[in-house]
Amino acid sequence: MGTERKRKVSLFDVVDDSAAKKLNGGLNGGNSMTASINKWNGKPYSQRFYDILEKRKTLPVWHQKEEFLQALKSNQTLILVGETGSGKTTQIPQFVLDAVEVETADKRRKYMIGCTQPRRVAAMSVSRRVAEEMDVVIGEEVGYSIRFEDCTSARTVLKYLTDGMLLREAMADPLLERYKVIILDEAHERTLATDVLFGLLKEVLKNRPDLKLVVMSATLEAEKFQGYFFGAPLMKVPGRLHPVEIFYTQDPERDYLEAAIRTVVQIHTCEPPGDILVFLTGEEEIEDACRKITKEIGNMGDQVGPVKPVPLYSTLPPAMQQKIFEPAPPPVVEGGPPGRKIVVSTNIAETSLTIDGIVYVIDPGFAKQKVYNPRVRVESLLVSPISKASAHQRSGRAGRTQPGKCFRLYTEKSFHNDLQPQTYPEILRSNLANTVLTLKKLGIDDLVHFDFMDPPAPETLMRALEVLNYLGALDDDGNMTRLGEIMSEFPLDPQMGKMLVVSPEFNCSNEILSISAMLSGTISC
Amino acid sequence: MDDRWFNSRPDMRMRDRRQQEMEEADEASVLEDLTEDFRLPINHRPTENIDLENVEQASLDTQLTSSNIGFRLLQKMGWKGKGLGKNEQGITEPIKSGMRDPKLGIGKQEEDDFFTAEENIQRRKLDIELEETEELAKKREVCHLHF
Repeated sequence: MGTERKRKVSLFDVVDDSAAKKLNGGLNGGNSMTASINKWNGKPYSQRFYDILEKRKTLPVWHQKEEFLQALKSNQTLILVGETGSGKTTQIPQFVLDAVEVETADKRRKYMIGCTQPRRVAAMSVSRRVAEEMDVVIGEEVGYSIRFEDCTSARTVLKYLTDGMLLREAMADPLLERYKVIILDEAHERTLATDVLFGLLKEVLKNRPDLKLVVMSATLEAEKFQGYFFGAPLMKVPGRLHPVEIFYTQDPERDYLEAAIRTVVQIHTCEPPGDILVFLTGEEEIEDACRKITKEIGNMGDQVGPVKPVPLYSTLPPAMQQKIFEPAPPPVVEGGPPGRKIVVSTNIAETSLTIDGIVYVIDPGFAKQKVYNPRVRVESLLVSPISKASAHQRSGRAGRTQPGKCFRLYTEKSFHNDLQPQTYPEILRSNLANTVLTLKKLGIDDLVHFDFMDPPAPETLMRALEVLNYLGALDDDGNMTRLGEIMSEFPLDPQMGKMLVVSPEFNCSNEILSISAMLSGTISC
Repeated sequence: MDDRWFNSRPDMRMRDRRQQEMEEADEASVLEDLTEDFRLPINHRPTENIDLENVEQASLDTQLTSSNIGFRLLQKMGWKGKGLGKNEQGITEPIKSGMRDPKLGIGKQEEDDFFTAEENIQRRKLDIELEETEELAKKREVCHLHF
């Protein structure tokens, strides 16, 4: 499997490389002064590098480069708030790289800058983009590391990785000694792994004065981060947003799906051109909505322009996901009413994916959320009202390319009274059995006073300790057993980890391995 | 009387049909009976071979107690019954998830609840009125019997 992955990566590189060479060769005559050498790989910079550099320099974050580097130099921890579109995820790690010494005494290895991402897709796509910007081959100086795929080398100095992956690295390297700077990106999402890293890094920073931490967030909850991280300085980077007008309904809706479709039709018939983004909760609902939109608009005949509903959810095959970037359909007859693209998405389009051209956002105010109740030991995915912060993010999606409009399918009173200010961090809504195993492995024995930013309910921890004790990972005094240590090595639920570890005793490791693989992999084509 | 005669006809027809259905479904019903044997009513409590005295039932409202090994392990780590965290400032109750009608928009349930609550007040008022006229009601019943 490893070689297969590697081959895929190198295929990508070859294509990219030849494209870059072509550009370079074609323009070499006219631009003979490209004598500058890329300090990372010793090769001359390609023309493409300069083209991208010009674009990079227009990103809002570039205006504060010096200010940022100054702050980084004089502080161990730094908090950076930047709305989506400020360029923080791609540029800040490169700024850091320019300012930090990465050479080690051991010539074979270099210190690294690590930048965490909550999602695997983001880690992959951002690192590819940054490799291109730095004019290096992905997997060499710039790489990524996600579960089941490590695309880095001994030469890697900038590594994008999922937050869960950094946590796993900490299990082998508790002081994260390979890193010079750690950047926790998308901290506002408050994923389980990011929250655990918060507490862990606070400890690591005390023991490693030379390590620096940059926490990047898209929302103003950053002030809470500031209090938590020893009052670290806060830097704000403006996003690139146009004004968004917000509309509420007069009365609460009896059926939000029906209301969303009605709003799509209204926008399509009454508003000037511009694509629509509708937020719904899941695959079934989204596919259903797409069908209904096609039908409703179809019934209106050629009075109105054509529409192209595009579904978007995480289990959709990547090729289908790409459809969101296709342009709106042309008018049916020349000079007729213009067409419109209608993206119907889960909250994946809320922060992690950017779709240009969206002018209208429809927000029914719901998303699927994980909830865990330790009393009945049930973890469920429920459709629940979003937070005010989420609603704000959603409306912001309408103002990426031009002034936009956001239609909230609830009353203004509901917005103020019924939506909570922030979504509960994942750590308060999850089964923590796996997390407790990881923390134990990291040598944290006092889980009661561990410095969580938002400590989970005691009963959630009790259930985690209970199941780990039942599985034999913890003894009756709460100490980790040998079995527990082996189990913690697997990035799996403790139950499945145990199943794997003990399967040889029952002569079925082969079968159990297949079953575990099937149960833990996500379906994608 | 005429009414009753007419009414009885559909009854007859219905009975016929039911009988026919029963005959047709005879084989199926044998199977059904079999499955029925294995099906337990939802509120069934096992009584044999089980000591129900010491069984705890999980419920959203019941806190875990010291009979739970996790409870005791947490105590061993120094938990004193308050929240977790550096300053024991954490939440003490698990996050609850509200049940809701899958279609209703944000705020609709609240609006409905509000109106239902209003209705309840109205109904309560009516109940009070009824209480006051209980004797009158009795009288009415008596009158009804006479006619």
